[in-house]
Amino acid sequence: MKAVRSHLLLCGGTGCRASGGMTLKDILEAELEKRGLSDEMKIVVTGCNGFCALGPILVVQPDDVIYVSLKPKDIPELVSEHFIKGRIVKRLLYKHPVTKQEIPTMQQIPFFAQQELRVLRNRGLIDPEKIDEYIGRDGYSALAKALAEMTPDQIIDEVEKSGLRGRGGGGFLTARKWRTTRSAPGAVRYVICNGDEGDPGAFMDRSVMEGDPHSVIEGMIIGAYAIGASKGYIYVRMEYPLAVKNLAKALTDARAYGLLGDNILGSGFSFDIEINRGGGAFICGESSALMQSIMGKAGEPRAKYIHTSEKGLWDMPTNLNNVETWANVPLIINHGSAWFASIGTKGSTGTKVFSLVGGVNNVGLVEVPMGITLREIIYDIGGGIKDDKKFKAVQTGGPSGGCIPAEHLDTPVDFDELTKLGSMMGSGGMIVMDEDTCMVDVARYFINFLVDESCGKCTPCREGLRHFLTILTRITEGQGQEGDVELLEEIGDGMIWGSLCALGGSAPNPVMSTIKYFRDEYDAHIRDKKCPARVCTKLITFSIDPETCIACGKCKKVCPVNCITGAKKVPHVIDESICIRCRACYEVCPTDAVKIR
Amino acid sequence: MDDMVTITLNGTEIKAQKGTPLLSIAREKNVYIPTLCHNDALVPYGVCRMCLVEIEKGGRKRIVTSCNYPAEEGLAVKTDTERVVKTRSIVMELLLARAPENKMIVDLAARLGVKGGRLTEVNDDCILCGMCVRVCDEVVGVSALGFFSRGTSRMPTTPFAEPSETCIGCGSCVYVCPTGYIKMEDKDGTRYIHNWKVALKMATCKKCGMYIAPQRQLDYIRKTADLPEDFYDLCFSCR
Repeated sequence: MKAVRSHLLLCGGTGCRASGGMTLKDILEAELEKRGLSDEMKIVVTGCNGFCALGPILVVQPDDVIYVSLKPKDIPELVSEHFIKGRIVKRLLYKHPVTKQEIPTMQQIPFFAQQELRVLRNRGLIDPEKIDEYIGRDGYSALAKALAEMTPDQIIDEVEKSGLRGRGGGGFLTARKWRTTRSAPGAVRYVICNGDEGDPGAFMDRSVMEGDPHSVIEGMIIGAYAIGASKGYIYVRMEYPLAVKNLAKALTDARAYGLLGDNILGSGFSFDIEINRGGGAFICGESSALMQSIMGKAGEPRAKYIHTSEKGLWDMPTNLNNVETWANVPLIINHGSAWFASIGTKGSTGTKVFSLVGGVNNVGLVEVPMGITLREIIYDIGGGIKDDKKFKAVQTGGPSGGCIPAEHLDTPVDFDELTKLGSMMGSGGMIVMDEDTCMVDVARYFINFLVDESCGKCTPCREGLRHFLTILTRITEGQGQEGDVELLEEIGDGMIWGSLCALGGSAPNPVMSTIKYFRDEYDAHIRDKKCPARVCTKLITFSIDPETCIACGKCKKVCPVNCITGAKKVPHVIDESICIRCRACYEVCPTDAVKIR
Repeated sequence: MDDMVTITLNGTEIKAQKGTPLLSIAREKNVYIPTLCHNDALVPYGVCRMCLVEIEKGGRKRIVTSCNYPAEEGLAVKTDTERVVKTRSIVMELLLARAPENKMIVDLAARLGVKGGRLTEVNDDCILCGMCVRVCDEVVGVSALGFFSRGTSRMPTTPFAEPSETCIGCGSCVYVCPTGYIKMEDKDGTRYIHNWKVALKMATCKKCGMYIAPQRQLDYIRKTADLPEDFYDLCFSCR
């Protein structure tokens, strides 16, 4: 057998799979076989690289060359040019959006260059299904250190000194939670990993569970040892089948290696983990609802004066942390709290993973030091706004986060600063919106999501959201009344103070923040019956400018209701009485003659 | 007396059993706190959010539901701060929009000085206090009811909204329902609870022929309490 001279790291994240990554693998395998390279070139299917918009991604090692947006037809050329002749195939490289220059290595691509990979330390490097590859990258060494050299109290002290705060949204100090759970009386203690990531557009936790499941498991075992827990649960939503598969394989392998189960690494400490699949209800990401769900009951939150650390699962002391929080733990144990706290801000140490989506050039998963500004994330890493449009707002923290306007782009991103702006860190969703976004419509969109996802148990959240949606819908339809904004604010205030759980308490954020920063848009809808961003269909009209229309007929062809008339060399006309404002003509017009007013 | 704590209620210092819900303490002291989902026979649920009070502990003020918040040493409780009144009024207004024709809700809103008219009316007399579901489970022990769906479509119902096979027709849900949303009717020897699509044959007294209660209810009680087979043959008057 020949020695493997090159590793072909093919991204196997859900994003790259969706764009055909696994078909590519078969074709690549066949091509290598055909060229007699199978023995010397090894394909490794890795976890998510984060640059999902450009999938499928292939990184060639040791050359350190990254190919993006690969198609099956590119493979023969790639094999003969690069793998046989050693010449990089330039046309398959990433191109800088501004300079148009090809960039061959990951580290030179701005999207990757400014990231600080800690939680995502193994991203794109290891096969998540192989425990040996995790161990090869220092995996489970933190567990060995914790069990052999540290007492539970020392572990908690170290985590406390690191300043680690819960990455799931609450931002609660992890060590404090661990300590109260440890000291709470109870026959059994549990640890839970919250992997019920439900925010639209967010995929941080999915990526970690799929791409590096052992990092979560190792964190949980260390936490369980520190807390004195004997049983753990990973709660993953049903919609994440690959995460469930990779976690299940990882648990089986960890057990086989003596890293999980009875007498872990001969230390006398026993602990095991079970996977619990959720049905996909957003509310089950709320800790008390999640526990109800694990116990087989309907996922509904309970009164907040009962602390999970004292009475959690089956009324026993329970510690619940999010995926990303757990994945940080081995790093703190291995590198120490000082190293961990060396980046970030005073109140928020370490890094945070964000899913950067919406109107930016580089959509994907990014891990950045806490305290980085929104501007750096959006412009340096995200490559700025798509199609050279103007930035309008960024929504952080999931559907119940707030919308932050341009004037606050230089705000450092950490738990406290985002809250001050009327938004929140949440679990790390970041949706960027450009000038063509109507902020009233955005608020309506998120409230519509929350109306469905509220459990409906308490009055303010259930009824408040119902009226939010009614009022916002009427505003976007031009039926808004004077006083509607004040009414929204009053209802929102009642929800913030009166709701049972954090979902209800934060649900007004999209409304309150857009009122705070974009009040003029509300007023334009209500008073002038105009949608300044030209989005709300009931408030806009379409027409064709006869001066610029070249009578090409493209708009006529795409119009689904045949409301455009015109002939060769005759400027076209839209019949407003039939037009359904689908924007198809607007999108297709080569001379921008279609006007929205 | 280790488990007695001192709290202040609207500025007055009082002693109370540790862990007693603040609502019970307030009621004992004749301090009015409105409730809609509370019943002394049931475990506090804390969902109508009418019983909100402001508590201060260690310098930190919070709004909590008094029906389930336990008394603890040094707690300062206020039942009528501006924050409480404001929040409670909005909750009341939301419920008034949900059940604008319901007398009980209309009266309570009037008592709290809350006017309707600003919100789109829903016209659903069920205010989702959950008492029917809870009494059937916690007190009767039959668990014939549960909640269907979530969010704004949440409603109490039987499994799959089909005629209940387990409901014993005892009427406890009807009795606890604060708004009269659950309708029960005895007609021609049959008990109907229309909300649960239940029609149960009534047992008759072997002596006078009077209707006693639904046969299924009597069977259930006999079985649960291990009573003799002929225990319910006669009505109370004929025994």
